[in-house]
Amino acid sequence: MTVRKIFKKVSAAVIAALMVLALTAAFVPDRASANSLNLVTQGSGEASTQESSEQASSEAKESADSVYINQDTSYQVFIEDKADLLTDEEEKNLAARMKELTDHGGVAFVSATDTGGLASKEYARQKCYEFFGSDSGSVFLIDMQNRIIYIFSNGKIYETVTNEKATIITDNIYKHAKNGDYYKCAVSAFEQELTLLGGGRIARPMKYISNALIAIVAGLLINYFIVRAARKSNAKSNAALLGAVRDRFEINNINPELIKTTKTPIITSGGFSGGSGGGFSGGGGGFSGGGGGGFSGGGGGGGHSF
Amino acid sequence: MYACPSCGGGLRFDIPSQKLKCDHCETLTDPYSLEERKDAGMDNTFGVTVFTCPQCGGEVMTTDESITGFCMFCGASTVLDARMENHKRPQKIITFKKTKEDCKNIYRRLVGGAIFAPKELKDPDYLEKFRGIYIPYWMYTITYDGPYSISGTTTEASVGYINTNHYKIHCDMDVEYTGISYDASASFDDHVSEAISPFMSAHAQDFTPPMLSGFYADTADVDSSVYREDALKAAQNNLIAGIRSNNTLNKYTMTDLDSSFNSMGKVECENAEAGLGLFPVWFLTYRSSKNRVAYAVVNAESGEISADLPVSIPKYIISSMAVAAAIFALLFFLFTPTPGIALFAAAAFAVISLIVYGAEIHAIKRRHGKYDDKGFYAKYGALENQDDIRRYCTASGAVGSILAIIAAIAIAIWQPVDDWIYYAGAIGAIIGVCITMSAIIRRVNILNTRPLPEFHFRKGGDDSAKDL
Ligand SMILES: [Zn+2]
Ligand SMILES: [Zn+2]
Repeated sequence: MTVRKIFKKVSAAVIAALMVLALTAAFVPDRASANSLNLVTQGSGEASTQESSEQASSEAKESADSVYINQDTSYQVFIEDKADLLTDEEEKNLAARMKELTDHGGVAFVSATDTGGLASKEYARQKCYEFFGSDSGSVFLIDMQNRIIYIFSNGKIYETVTNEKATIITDNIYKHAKNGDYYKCAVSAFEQELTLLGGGRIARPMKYISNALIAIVAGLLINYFIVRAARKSNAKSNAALLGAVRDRFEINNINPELIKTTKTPIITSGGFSGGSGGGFSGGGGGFSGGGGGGFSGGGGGGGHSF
Repeated sequence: MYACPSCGGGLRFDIPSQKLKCDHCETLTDPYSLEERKDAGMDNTFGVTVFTCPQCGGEVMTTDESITGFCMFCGASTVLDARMENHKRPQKIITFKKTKEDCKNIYRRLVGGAIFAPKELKDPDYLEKFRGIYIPYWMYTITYDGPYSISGTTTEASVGYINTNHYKIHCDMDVEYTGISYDASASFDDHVSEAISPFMSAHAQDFTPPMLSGFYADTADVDSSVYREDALKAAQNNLIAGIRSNNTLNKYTMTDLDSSFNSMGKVECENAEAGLGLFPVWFLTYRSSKNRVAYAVVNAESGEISADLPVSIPKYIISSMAVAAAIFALLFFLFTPTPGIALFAAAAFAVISLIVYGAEIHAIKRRHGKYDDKGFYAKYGALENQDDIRRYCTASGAVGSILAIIAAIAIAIWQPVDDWIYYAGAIGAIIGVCITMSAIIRRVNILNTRPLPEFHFRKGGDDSAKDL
């Protein structure tokens, strides 16, 4: 078999494999249905600013029903379905699933039609502090106003369900919200959190696929440059070629005959401008460096301090 | 075939002793003692057997009609057509100094480091096919002899003025360059001859036909006038450098030295004579595919090597996957791509691959256009491999990466909210880049091999005209 045939076969195989990858990636169910609903998925962040705590307590008077208390840990389960996304039956079943998380911290399901002008992240943060203070806890928010699902965690749960993990979970489940299956969406969110908290892993297929593809192309390119580097440059200098064959080289009886002498007046301003020009441009450099540095460095601080 | 004076056995040139050695009794014979000196100068030719490859038309000659087997130009194993001919007798020869064993070692060292080379290149049986061949070179002797004058200036500062003294510097030059050499075979690529240079033409001996015993010689089919200007220019450049560094002359400013040598002719070449010399190389042919060959050439005087190293595609892909696995592992721990970053990375790779593709095409055009092989150009005029250029120097291989970039830009402008569009774009773009990469590797191999020589067509042009 010739190299060309092997190449054709192998490259066809590689391309076919890549296409299969691409197709599976494009048509995995959790991706395929995502088309019309603008759901932004976001991670969570740990924060304990005074304002949000205050806001949280000020809104605590609104209905927030504790549906379960874990007797050992005293962590609670909250369900606040203001958007009325779940049936009573579903709320009951969801609560049963959420109980399992109370070993690790408080859990809340929140839905909202009006976040009072807050971004989803802020709203979720507020709810988290409202329900659990600065204790370990996790809020899963379905924000119908902004059409965003958001997981906000704090404390011990946040050590496991990090921003990245929260993003992965919401990436994985937003299709359910998009399809209007809010119950399944919520259940999946808490199940995946539980998996993480139990030491398990949750898949993020896109991460591996795009990393794999990036790695393959990088590998092909890196090897190309290795091949390229091996292609040695054969150009040789003329002198090297000739050095071997210069038999005789004598220049004798060198006799310079003066033809004429020309006088060029030394223009002092020319000298001056040369000197000062150099000095000036040096100064200019110093100036721009200092000025620029001072300006850009102090821009934030300086600007505010005046 | 020259016969042993002691036993009548066949004689071959023996590299370690630099003499002819008998196959049977191992008697050493001085090659100069064997040639029946006809009236020297009566006829500047000598009788040789010329072998012609029926497949490619490549020709080599030897004084030793017993060696046949395969063609060194195209690698075909076939019985070569032999005919007796008289050829122009070279003046000089540099005999083989590196033995076949030396040559194989040099080659092994090179191929050992070439991780993508096909494994056949490392096969000992294949290395056995290294073949000793003399390449004809035109050796130019250029002298600058007699009085010359050069313009030069000096400057000195006095109060308020700069004085510039203009001189006409008279001098006697006695400069001689001998053996400025250019390969005189159109079939031997100038790049190869440059890559394995230099040959120490000062060490060349007088030629005598028995020295060819056991070796081939390529025919000199490029006229000596072809490289005359190059030789002159080379000598001139060296001369100018010598003048500039001369202890007496270097205090003058000689600004018009280069231009004056060329245009004003202030220093003229008095004599440029070419002589024909045979320089030794070890030559190996590898048929890398149906219509591509790769050559390995070793300067048998200095050991300098030039080898086409085709890339084995399976090896390339396997080692690329190994590198990819390492990168993947690294990314796994370091990096979670957001959809935007994945798309950006794909587009960046697409841009790199396009640049690389362009560079490869440019290199193919130069190589296969033979724009810079003067000997070939002089002999055959038109470009040889227009087919290759038509086939490989197209934008078709770049389409994958171009589409990738367009898709990436479109998505970047569109800024859809859904992640999957970015991922799909990134994946599509990377597939596009892979397609362009495969086109690149194919072109790397075009560049690392040569088209099968077709001396028939070129040399046969006249014959077919006669037939009509
Ligand atoms: Zn003998
Ligand atoms: Zn041939």
